[in-house]
Amino acid sequence: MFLLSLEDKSLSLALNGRDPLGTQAIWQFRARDVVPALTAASGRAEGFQLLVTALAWFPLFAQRHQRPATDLKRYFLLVEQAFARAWKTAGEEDWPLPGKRRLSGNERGIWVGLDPKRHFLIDSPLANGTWGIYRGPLLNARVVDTTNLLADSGVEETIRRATPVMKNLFDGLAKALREPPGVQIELAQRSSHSLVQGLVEVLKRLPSKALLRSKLVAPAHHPITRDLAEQALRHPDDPVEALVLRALHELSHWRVPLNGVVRCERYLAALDASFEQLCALVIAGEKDPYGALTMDLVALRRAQADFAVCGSFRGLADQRRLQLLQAPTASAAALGAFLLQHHAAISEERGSAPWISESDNRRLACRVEVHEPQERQLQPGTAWRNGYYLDALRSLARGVGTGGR
Amino acid sequence: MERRTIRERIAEAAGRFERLEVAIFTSFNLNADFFEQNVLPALFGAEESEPRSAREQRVHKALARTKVGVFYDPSQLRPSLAAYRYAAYPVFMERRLFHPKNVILYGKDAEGRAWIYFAALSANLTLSGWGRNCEGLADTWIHAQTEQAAIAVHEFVQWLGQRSRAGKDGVIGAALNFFGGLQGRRHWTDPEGADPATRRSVRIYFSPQHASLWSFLRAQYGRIDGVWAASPYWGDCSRIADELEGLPLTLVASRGPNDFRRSGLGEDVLAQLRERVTLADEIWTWPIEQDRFFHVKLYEVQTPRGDVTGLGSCNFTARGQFWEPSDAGDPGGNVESMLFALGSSDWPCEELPHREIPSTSCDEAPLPLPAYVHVQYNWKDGTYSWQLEGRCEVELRLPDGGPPVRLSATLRSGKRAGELRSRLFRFRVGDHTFYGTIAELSLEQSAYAYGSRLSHADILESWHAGVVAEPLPRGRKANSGDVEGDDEDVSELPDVESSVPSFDWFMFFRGLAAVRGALQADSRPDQPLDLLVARSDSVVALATSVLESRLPTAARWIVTSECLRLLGPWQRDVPAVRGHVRKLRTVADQLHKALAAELSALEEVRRRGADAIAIVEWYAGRLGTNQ
Repeated sequence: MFLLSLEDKSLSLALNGRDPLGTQAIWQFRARDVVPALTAASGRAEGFQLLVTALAWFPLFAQRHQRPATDLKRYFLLVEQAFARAWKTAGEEDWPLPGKRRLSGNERGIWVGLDPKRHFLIDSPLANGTWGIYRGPLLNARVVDTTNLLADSGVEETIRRATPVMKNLFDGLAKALREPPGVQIELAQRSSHSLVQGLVEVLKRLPSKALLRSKLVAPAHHPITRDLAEQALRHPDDPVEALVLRALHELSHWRVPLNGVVRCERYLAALDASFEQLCALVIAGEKDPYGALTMDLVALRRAQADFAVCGSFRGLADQRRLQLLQAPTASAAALGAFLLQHHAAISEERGSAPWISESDNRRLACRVEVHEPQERQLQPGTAWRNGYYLDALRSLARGVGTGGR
Repeated sequence: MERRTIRERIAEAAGRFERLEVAIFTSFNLNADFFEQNVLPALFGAEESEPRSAREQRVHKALARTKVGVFYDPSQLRPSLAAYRYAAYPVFMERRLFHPKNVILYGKDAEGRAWIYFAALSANLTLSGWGRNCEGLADTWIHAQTEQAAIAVHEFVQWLGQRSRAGKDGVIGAALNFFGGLQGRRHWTDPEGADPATRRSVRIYFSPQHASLWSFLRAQYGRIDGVWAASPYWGDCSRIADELEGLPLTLVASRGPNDFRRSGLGEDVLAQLRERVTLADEIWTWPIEQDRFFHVKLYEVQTPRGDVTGLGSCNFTARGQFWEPSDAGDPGGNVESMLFALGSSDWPCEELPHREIPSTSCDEAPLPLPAYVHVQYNWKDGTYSWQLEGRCEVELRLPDGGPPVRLSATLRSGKRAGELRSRLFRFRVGDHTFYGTIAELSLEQSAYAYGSRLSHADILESWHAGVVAEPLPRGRKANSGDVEGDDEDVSELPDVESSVPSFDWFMFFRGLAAVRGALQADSRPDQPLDLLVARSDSVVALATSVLESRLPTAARWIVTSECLRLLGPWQRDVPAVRGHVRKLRTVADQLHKALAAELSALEEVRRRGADAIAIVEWYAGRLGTNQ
């Protein structure tokens, strides 16, 4: 096979998303003003539905089959496999949750087991799969309590009534938990099997849509989230920056929190871009990389003043905010030296080697490949790079709606 | 010609192996951080949606069973931030460059058949190569020892072993052994379902095996009747003009990389070629794609057997196409590789406007290092060894804290024992300081703790749950709430799985029993490796975590001893255990002595005139740690 390569943009993202200045803690804190519960990866309604369905049935399952509470995670791994393999057996499109790669073989039918290599959908499924990605937002939204069970027994009952197919899984799951991990339990073969149909139907119909909507997309105690979700659905192609700026204009009653986001982001994004420019200049062999930074210092001074009043912070976010407010704006050289020193401190705190450091002969050396950011990203008036969980909000709102007026 | 991302194609090919045993990469530039964060995850099937910590953990685990080696030109290294269990070998050639870009994978398919996947690329192991540039990739599956491709790859791997001084260690030894297991004849459809006939015309070129690219092509396909050549760099073409004298030649030049209003091909080279070859009137170029640099090196050669297409690392320069020196002063060409096969394809080209042809060509000619010191660390006996290449006087500084070493033509090599504290070393030639990376030998016996670590409480909780699902560390400093990179925001979550402050002995001994049970169940051949070393909650990980904790000496001694008891019997079957056993034994001995010292310092012990050493020995005997 001969091929010419396409540009691989996600490679660039992976290297650029590594938070060399420790700004992530700051924007994530500010993001909670607008999206209180979601995380960046938790945008699929199917993920939440699968998790709440499994959790709703666990107490009954444990009681009927006399399984200890400590079996919850293993039970969930089996339920997750059953849903995914039912999806595949039914001939649906790609599995929308983590693990689609291992579902791409030719095997059909629902089978479950606890052998990591032979049965799991993904390596480290508790951290990396549906459990790891979707449990955090449910905890944030108080749908799940710290024992990993549904916090409201009424909700539990409602979910059970809407998903009776789960009862048909019980015997197979109990058997899988009793047997050694290598044993594979067959639950269904054909796509016409009622178990296959029933499980797929749960994910397609999303019977807990109203719950997910009220807790994650349109929480009553946090009305700005619903307004932003509606705005995001009305303008599905708006990138996050455009979405926030449009909302600032059209949802003027939310001016204070939205302004907080903009003021926070403009400053942080410009500093991050400036640090990347410094790396790129060092890589290019620029003799005076500090002096060659192209930051508009007057604009940076204004952005810094705005950042200082972008809202309150706590803990690590506050500590980082105070550090970054010290960035000098008198000269590019001073700014460059500050960024380098701040990055060194962050790296030291994390116990990792810095991207860029001084070598023996006092010349700077950069250890990672960084490309010079575009001019727009370098200026505090136009810089933007972080998502504030609004992509996840839009994606989830697409799945469960906003309950719009 | 098909368009894909390189990552997609390599991940797809790697995914065809049921068991990937060896992976060899070659590159001129190596950005080790890029390689670790992007290439290794693609090789081991990480999904893009996975958080960074999960990708890293997957790679660490996979590296415990797949041997990976990267060969690169030492003048072009950018070292990485994190340590992974793979071998990086510089290949130094005095006054030549090591320039091939290959991916060679060895493994077995779902039916248990042995296959080698070979790809020749124009892309280096850098973000530009795999991400931004437009590059080329040509690949094939190799199944039989008698194929030209198999023999060429095998000989090249032998050559790599010699030149890099890796010998038959690690990845090289495994690749050479694997070749012995290939069958004699080619008759299986490849793991992607292609008929063996499609592989019949494939030929692989490695420059050290031939006088030149052109002599190779004539030997494999017969007379050359005409050539189309696409290259990003051009220069020094008199030898090529001699070689292709009188033949029709059509050129495709790339724009950039610095100025996209100019091609890399200049009037100087055109004039040189026009004197000897029949140069086509039109010069061609690639279409503009958002300032993407077309770094692809692509050839189409007309032969009596039909058109032959080739792709790989050979630029249209004498260094890129000729291995043998032209005269006594010429050092010879670069180490290069190409894959050729019968057939032609559409090149999406357009005519290059004359105004875009500069007067002088752009010839990529980075300077090779003046000299190099091959430094190796052998995990088997904990020794550094070094060998000077080149004719300079060099001062070498190893990262073991020892004195500098002076090397010269009369004293070129040496050896000393020490601890591997860093993979970087420095050497000074005159006023210039250079950096190199240490090549690790017997890597399977490395006692280094790779990857972010879990707390001992997390590991015990995992053992207690039956060691079914593998937990992941959340960040480099989980307790600070500071997560790096694209990890999720978990800083405000109530952490139901957070570590408890003390050591739970009940959980520990029950967990040990669970791990023993899982080891005895022996459901998979890789199970012992996983449970003992590779997983984030392995026995070695627990020992490491406890040793790094502030638990009392007695507690660390007991845990270390118990872990040793579990690990010891597996040394023969699981080589990765050996280094750890050696290290833990040393630590256990030190803890044993420290415990005796602590006991003897106790007022109560002193007052009673008791023998602290005898007390510790007595306990050790009762615990069975003296066995």
